[in-house]
Amino acid sequence: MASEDSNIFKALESQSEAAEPMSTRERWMAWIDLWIIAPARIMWIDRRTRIGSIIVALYLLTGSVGVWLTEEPELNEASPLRGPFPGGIIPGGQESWLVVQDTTLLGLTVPWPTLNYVFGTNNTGQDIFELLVHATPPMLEMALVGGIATTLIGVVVGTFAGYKGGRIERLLMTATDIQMAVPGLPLLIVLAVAIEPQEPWVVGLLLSVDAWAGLSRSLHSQVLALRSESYVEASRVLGLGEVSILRDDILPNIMPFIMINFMGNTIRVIAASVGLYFLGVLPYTTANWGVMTQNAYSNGAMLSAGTWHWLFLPIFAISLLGYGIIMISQGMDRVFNPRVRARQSSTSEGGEAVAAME
Amino acid sequence: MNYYLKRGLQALFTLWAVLTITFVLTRWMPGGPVDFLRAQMIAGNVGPASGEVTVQDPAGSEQFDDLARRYVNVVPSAPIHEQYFTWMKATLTGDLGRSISFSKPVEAVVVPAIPWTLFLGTVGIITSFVVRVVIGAVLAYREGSWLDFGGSTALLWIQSVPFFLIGLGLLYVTAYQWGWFPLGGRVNPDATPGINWPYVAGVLNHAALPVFSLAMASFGSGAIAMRANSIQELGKDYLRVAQLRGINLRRVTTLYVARNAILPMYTGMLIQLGYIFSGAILIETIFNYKGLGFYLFRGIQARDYPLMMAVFILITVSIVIAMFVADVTYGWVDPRVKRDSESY
Repeated sequence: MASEDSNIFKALESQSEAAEPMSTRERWMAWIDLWIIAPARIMWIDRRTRIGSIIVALYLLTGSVGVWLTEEPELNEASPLRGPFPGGIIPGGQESWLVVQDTTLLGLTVPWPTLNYVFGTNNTGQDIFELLVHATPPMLEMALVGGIATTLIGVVVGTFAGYKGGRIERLLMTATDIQMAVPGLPLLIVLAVAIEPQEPWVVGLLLSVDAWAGLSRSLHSQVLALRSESYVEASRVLGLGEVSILRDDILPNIMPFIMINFMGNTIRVIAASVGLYFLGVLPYTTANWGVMTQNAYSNGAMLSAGTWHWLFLPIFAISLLGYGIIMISQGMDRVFNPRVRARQSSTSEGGEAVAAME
Repeated sequence: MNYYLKRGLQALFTLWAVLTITFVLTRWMPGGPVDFLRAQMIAGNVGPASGEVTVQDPAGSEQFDDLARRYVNVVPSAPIHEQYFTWMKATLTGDLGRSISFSKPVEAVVVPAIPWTLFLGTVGIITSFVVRVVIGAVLAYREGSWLDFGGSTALLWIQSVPFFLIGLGLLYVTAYQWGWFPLGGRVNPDATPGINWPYVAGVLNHAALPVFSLAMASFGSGAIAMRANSIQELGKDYLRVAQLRGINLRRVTTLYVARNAILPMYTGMLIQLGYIFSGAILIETIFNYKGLGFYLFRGIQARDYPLMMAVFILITVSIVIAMFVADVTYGWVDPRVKRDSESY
């Protein structure tokens, strides 16, 4: 029954395509325009998302190219506890934090800048700048995996409970309530001590255990309201499958909310992982900003005014990433607003039609 | 069904579920308490004098059963339902096992710490609630002004720093460098405990930074939410009617707008309570404040599972109770929820 109906829709679809033929290339262009170029333009127009995107892009660049450009931090590279910006803020001389030397690149001699302990060193003579850079990729991996996992669990549980109703709803929502009552951090600590996760993505997955309940609860009530909308009812009467109703009718409505929540979840994963590393619950396998802060805290950075860089630079690295993500999510609602998006997409037909209407 | 009865049953059910989860974690988590005790017994660190123990796997032996019973209330070789009832009965009667690192009953370690964490938690919640309501409301009334712009930007900055790192920064600057506050601890060691000014002042002085840092845990996002709620409320028709009737402006702002804008914030407190108790672990560790969280941290450091699981249970139970209280009082603050029992 359901498959017959969808055949009718396919037939209708192919008719409209016949009337207005579109090559694969054109379709790709339209898709790219609608989903990549237009959102990117809106994000650039909004001041908050522009700042946020620049910051996050900086971190992505550091995590990919930066790791390749800077050396691995080593013990006793330089004298311990050197202050930041040796040789003064304005670079100059051989002892300065920025030295430009000639190197051969592809057979040409070009000047190449080298950073020397620009953020100073810690108590074991490690370059703090190199530590910060090399801690970036694991942190990004952790935040991404944790954010996606949390959001996925929350969306599946919340949407399914809200749409299905009945016994399944009660079961899932009870599970959600219990999860909300279990304190997040203590549970994570007990699990982390027992499991001892090594890989960043495993840490990300572990951290998603405690955070999904809030999202699933609020999605549950939103889907509950959407369920009785007339167009959803129409799809149900037509006999469309549950999965296609959830995917085509329900999800697009709650997508902005989900995306903003995803950003929030990545921030939460970052903060929680830093907390766990600070408590010494997670094994120190890679360079990490939380481990750096913990090191500074327990090895005497608190005692002297001259060691502020050791303590505050990792904190600053954590906070700036959080700030960038918050700024993007603050302006995100505009990206998802169909009117704003239509105004920004130029090549796709639908965009022009809506823009003309306004 | 009666609103209070329903909420009470719900709380009891949650409590049971949480305790059962804790039992499952204690008994079967790989590398968890029972596994750990077995490993310790093989190594000869706990249990009878090392000469009596064979180096083979002691699981199933009477000695191991006795040891596990004493430390984590589990008898590993008994049938599952019996293990469950033994554990449940012991936990509900207040026997939380025996701490490995302090070598005394866990209750003796953690119970004296409970009031201190409650003190930090409640004062932290109240401070954060009041401050963010006031700041959010002020920003909303000055919407679009420079004050609003600067305030909102600052709030976003505060929101992006994890609260315990704010605490750490404050400790470094105000306590270690400027010497305004003590470096850690709960009380002034020279004062005699009781209601006298030196002692009370010492308690307040020691609690100031931890409370402030805990309040920061949800301050930024909360103030932003309050600002948004107030702005939404300010645009409502009933306000114009009130103004047209010539009602005093102050009365309108405090009685009408504030009350309606605060309501949604009150629900947020349910979630926040959990955050505060969880946050206490980090804050108490940083400030060396001997509350529940501090002992959880000590438990982690020494791999003292009985202590860890006991604090886990205590924090969970306090959260369930606090959520129940918040739920019940919410029905009293906003009578609408009692009628519409499905909205939650």
